[in-house]
Formats: sequence, structure tokens, C-alpha cells
Amino acid sequence: AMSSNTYELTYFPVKGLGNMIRLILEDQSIKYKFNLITKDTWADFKPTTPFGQLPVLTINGKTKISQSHTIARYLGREHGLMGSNNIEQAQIEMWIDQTIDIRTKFLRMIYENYEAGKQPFIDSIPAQLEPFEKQLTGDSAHLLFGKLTVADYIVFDVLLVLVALSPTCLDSSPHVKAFYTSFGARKNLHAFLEKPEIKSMKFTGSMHV
Amino acid sequence: AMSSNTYELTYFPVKGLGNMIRLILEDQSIKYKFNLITKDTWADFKPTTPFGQLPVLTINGKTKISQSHTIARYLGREHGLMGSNNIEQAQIEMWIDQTIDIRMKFLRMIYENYEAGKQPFLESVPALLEPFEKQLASQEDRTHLLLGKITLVDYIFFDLLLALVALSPSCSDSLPSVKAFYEAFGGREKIAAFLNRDDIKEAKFTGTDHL
Repeated sequence: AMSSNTYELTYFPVKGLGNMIRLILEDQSIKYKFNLITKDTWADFKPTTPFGQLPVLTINGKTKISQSHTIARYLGREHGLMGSNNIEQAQIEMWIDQTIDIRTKFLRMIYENYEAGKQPFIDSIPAQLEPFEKQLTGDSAHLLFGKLTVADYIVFDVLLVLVALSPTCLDSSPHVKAFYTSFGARKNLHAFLEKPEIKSMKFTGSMHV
Repeated sequence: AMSSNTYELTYFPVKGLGNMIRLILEDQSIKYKFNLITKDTWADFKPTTPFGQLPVLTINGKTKISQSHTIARYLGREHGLMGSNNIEQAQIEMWIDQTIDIRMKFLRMIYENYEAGKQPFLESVPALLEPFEKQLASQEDRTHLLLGKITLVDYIFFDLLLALVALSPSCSDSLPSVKAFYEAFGGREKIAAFLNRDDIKEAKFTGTDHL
């Protein structure tokens, strides 16, 4: 169901933690304004944020929500992507938490230990994806309940960055790879990711990816 | 509103990430069974968990939810602790996320860098808690963080403070509103009774020797 809220998403010019939010907004055709922050404009904008961090979602011009996964869960609730009851919502969130574990390990490697840590991290990807591989074995179009949920967007976004790090990293996880291919072909999603300014946008603030 | 679900919470004999869930259950008088896992019983139980991790909440004997903050949010939704609409829920979750940031820094220090990292971490605590100090000071009712009423983040923030105060009893001395919140919330009848139980008092905060 489409809500009547107005949304403005503020973030830096990286994919980072903002991309998954934009995937939800774009794929669901939710109107929003993207407010790009640069080094010059951050000093002025920062004090207006809840905790001095981005991304921030500004709702109806006044309420500011930060923390990327909280923003994603909020949008999920507003747009029917969080299951049909509290137990399904908890299951969706539990799988989202698993993606956060992977993303956190990835970011620690990228920012703290790229040289020595890159190959071991890549070697660990199949094991990290194993729960997802098992879960997607029955139906590789969606992670849960045979239907689209917020978890699909967030898993896909993590896979985007893993594939950017290592293009063959999904080869030994065929059902994950099938999910990645089919989800990435969704019309609005694909169009968004192909936009020149999005294609050229780095995944992190580091120079590595 | 009390739901008709049956709950079993499975965890190790530490406070760790399970304590905040028990604070919610106990304070809200939600009936649950606590299933204590030891090194001996973990090998058998682990394959039955969603991701090989604890805590796990088993709902109605069949659905297993893991990840402590997801369990907490689930209980919060079931028991009216997540605000009145999706925006309030997001605000509560945003503040919970801030506690997670602090808890992760604390756990990284405890598990990976205790000797060299303890003092710098303690010195960082006032700055880390400053948003909470400001938020509490801005409330008419300083016994709750948000919305003038009890919400899930009160339990989670209090649980974090328990660990910080165990690490350094004076860590909130420079934060009068946080300190007042800590004392008031810890004075809640069921919370005090639970925390004073012998088995809970003895349960270490972490799996390390430090705390």
C-alpha cells in the first residue's frame, strides 16, 4: 500500500549503507528526493541529523530517522514488505541481521585489513552464504514466504558488493547466484543500477571497492 | 496487551545478549521458560537453532527466532513497547541502534583488547552516552527515553548501563540524567527482584574473565 508520506534521503556519494534503501524506494516506485551530501555541505547538515551520521530519511519534512537498517525496516513496514504478522516480521529481521554480520566483516576487512584480509575474506564467502544457499534452494526468487520482503533487497545489496569485490564469489553457491541474477533483473532495480551516476558510485569510502 | 504465545528462551549462563530479553519478559510479567545451555548441551542444541547462535526464542514450541535485538523488537511489538505508529517505532529502533553501537565497542574491547583498551574505552563513555544524557534531560519524565512512556529502548539502554557500570561504577557520574534514569529503572520492582536473584547476580556479563 502506498503511503502519503514525503521522503528525502540524505547520503554521501557512495553506495555504502544508502544503496539498499534506494533499491527499496526505486523498485517499489516510492517517490523520494535524494539529497547528496559532499564534504563541503556535511559540516552544515551534520548538526541537523539525529546522531551525526548518514544516511538519514526525512519524513514529511520534519521527522528524521537515521541508521540504515532502521530506515529499511521502516520503509518495509510502510510498504507491505515485512510479512503478515509479528512472527514473520521477526523472521525477516533475523535474516537481515545475518546480512549485517556479513557486511560488518566485509567493512572491517576493507577499512582495517585489506591487504592481508582480502583473500581470506573472499575464501570465507561460500561458508558465510551457506544459510542463504540452503534457504534459497526451494525457491530462489525470494528468501522467505515465497514472496518479496525487505530481506530480499538487503541480501541483494550485500551480494552486489561481494560480487564487486570478487566477480566469481557466488559460483559455488548456485541458488544464491540464481537469486542474484533474477533479482537484479527486476525492471526498476536494473534501471536504477544502470544509471551512470549509480554505476560509477563506489561501494565504500575506501579506494578498494 | 498480553499475547497468548508460549515462550522459551535458550541461552548460556551469562548475562551477555540474553539479559535484556529477560529484563523485558520479567518486568512485563510475560511467562517464559528459561532453557540454560551448558558446554555439554550446546553440541546437541546448536543444530536446532536458526544460525548456530544463542539466544534463541522459541515461540509456541515451534518457531525459533535468533539475534538478540530481533527477539527484543519482536517482544516489544507483541507487548505495546514500540510506540503507536511506524514513525515512533523507527525512532525507538534508531535509539536502540545507538545502544548497539556502544555495546559493540564495549564487546570488541572486552574480547579483543582488554589490557590496552579498557581505560581508553572508559574515557570514551561520557561522549558515547552524551546523546542519551541530552535526550533524558529534554524529557519531562526523565525515567523514560522517548515518548514520555516506557518503550523497548528503556530496557535495552538500562541493560547496556548495567554492563558499563559493572566495568566502572563511576562511569555515569558526569551524566546526571543518565545516572538518574539508571537508578529509577533499576528500582522497578520486578527488575530489582530479577537482578537480585542469586543465579542472575552470579551470571557474568560476558564469556571472558574480565567481566
